Amino acid sequence: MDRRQFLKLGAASSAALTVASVTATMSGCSESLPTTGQWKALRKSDRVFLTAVAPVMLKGALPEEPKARELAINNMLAYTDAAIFNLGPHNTKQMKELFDLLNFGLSRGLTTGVWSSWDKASDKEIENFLNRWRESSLALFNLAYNGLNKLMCATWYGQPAAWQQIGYPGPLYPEALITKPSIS
Amino acid sequence: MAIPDLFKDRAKSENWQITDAGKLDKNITVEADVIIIGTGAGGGVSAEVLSQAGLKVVMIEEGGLYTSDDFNMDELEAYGTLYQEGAARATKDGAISIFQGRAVGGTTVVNWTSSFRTPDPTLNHWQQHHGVKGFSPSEMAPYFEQMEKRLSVAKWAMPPNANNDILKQGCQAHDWSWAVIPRNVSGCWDLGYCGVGCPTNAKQSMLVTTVPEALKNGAQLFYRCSAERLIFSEHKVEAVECLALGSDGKTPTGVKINFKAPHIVLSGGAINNPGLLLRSDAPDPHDRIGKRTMIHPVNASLAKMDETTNPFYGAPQSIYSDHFQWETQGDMGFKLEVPPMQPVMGAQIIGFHGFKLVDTMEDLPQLQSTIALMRDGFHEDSVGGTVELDHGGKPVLDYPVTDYMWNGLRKAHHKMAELQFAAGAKSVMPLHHDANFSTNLKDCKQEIDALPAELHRHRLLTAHLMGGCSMGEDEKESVVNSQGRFHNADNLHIIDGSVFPTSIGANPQLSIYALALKQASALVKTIKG
Repeated sequence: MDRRQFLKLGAASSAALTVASVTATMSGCSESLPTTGQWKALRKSDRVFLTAVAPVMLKGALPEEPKARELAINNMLAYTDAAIFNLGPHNTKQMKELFDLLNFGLSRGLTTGVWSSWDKASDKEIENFLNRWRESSLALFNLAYNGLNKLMCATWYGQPAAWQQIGYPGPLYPEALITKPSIS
Repeated sequence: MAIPDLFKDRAKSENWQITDAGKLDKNITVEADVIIIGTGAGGGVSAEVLSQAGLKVVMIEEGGLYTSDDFNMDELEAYGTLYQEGAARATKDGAISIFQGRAVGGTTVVNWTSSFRTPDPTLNHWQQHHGVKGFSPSEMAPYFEQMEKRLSVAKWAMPPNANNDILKQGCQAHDWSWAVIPRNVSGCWDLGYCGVGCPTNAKQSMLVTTVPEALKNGAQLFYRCSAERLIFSEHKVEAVECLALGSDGKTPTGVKINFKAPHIVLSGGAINNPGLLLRSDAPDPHDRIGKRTMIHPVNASLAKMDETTNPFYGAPQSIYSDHFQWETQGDMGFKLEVPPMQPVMGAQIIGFHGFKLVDTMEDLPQLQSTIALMRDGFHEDSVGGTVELDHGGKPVLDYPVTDYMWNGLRKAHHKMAELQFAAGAKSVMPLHHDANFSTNLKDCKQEIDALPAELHRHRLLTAHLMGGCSMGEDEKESVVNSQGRFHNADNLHIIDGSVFPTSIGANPQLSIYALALKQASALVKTIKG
């Protein structure tokens, strides 16, 4: 693909980004935000997306052992839910729109190149999507990549389970200074 | 526990008047001599000074009340509770991350304790170019001195941690000037967790100094109490309308609190102050509110060292260099410092995914990061950003990055790479989407010159929010006069970093403390006649 074709694709993707996200919202495909129960910001479809993408974003970091991996991802989801809620109403809405775009078939396919649902996407497809958004000449995709990247980095590397691998022994003098368990 | 929670203990034994607005079940009106909106560097010092003068003071804080027992050196917990927008505040286009505190004590609860006097060239510039009166270096000296004493500010006497020591070594190798940073700490354990709330009460933030002093003097504190609107009448603010926020710290409970006083002090900081004024339709005939908001834009360079650095431990900032700050020959000046790197902070700035991210994180104990803080607001091509309201009434900062600034950022990347290699770095990477680690300076410099000057690809952040309510004597150019009085309401004073006409050229907390001491002391004289 030469740069010109790439730019054309970029423009098409950008239009798709706007149109499809509006379509997703208007057509009722967009599930509203949870108001009761365990989750404050993440809907089921958002959790499916994060569960599929986190192991690729953090390839080589998450535990291999299935039970430990499931626990790590579940913790990430809980932290992510709290984090998105803590962004405040305005940013929470923007994240919802991003997730709408990622979960609505047409916009997902056009902008990420992943045409199957997230739980059926291969790691290779997901990695291509991350590279595509990261390397895109469109600032909007860079921005969305940055948002997902920071969110997943924070919610994984904030967990004690992540620390051994990176040589971080944890906070100093925990017995004297830590007075309550971490939020979860 | 080993460490007493001084705030909680004193609150109980001294019967402090503290109200969690979220727990109120009906609307109330509160009256006082002075209402202070915000409890950070500006509001905290103002509250101490005004309450010491015998005035009935009420402090309003949007954030929660968290004290040393709540500080567990846990990044996720702290970013979610102690920072604006869950530490994910950003400029309007999302390109620059903004780290700003939101709690009783404001940003002083989470800052890294660096305490610099406002540089003389900055004070002189305000006088010469922004019509500010009374802020000459000699006029300000006694205020700096008094606040340094009050907050135990002293040059860090312990050896710098490795992260800071590398900055020193790099400067020494190039014969660039450097110095030890003064910090506002008393009995510091050298832990390194200043950014997530000091668990030992060593940091002399407003939370453990001026706010307690004001409460001891009979001031009242309302927290989770968000100032929604100032009610203006002819040249006067009649009242402050606030919304109570629930225990999640975000959701209004529906209860409204109405504050009335003959004098109002606004100390909500840059971004939030202009936001409140704009929401309130404050008179602004010359369209100055929110203009000239400065942020010390920060870029960063990451180095892999041979030795162990453990950049997550030890006083986060103890060495700085102003070598490129003032001798700039027309380029944008900048200050060189280092950031602490606990895992979340570290991972967030790297900006990769997959193995590139994970491999870099595995080197965390050998990483060193240097940052450059660009001195914005001193040049015709650097006039800062503009605060505006979004559709929900939330303030957002539109901050353009000009070619002049891109040039400054590029120069800073060159100097940081030179510094890190001179200090023995094995490889260096400027933080940018299109960069990689280079193993020698020549390659690194080529890479820096090739990096596209594009937002969203360049990792930029800020922790210093200044301006937006500039002070000055010319009403066409400023929002408040040199005493901090709002040009269009006689009983409204703005006392915090939002009145700075430019950035400071140094971490701003001591500049805010000294300004607040000066302005609040003058206000006492005005009120008492």
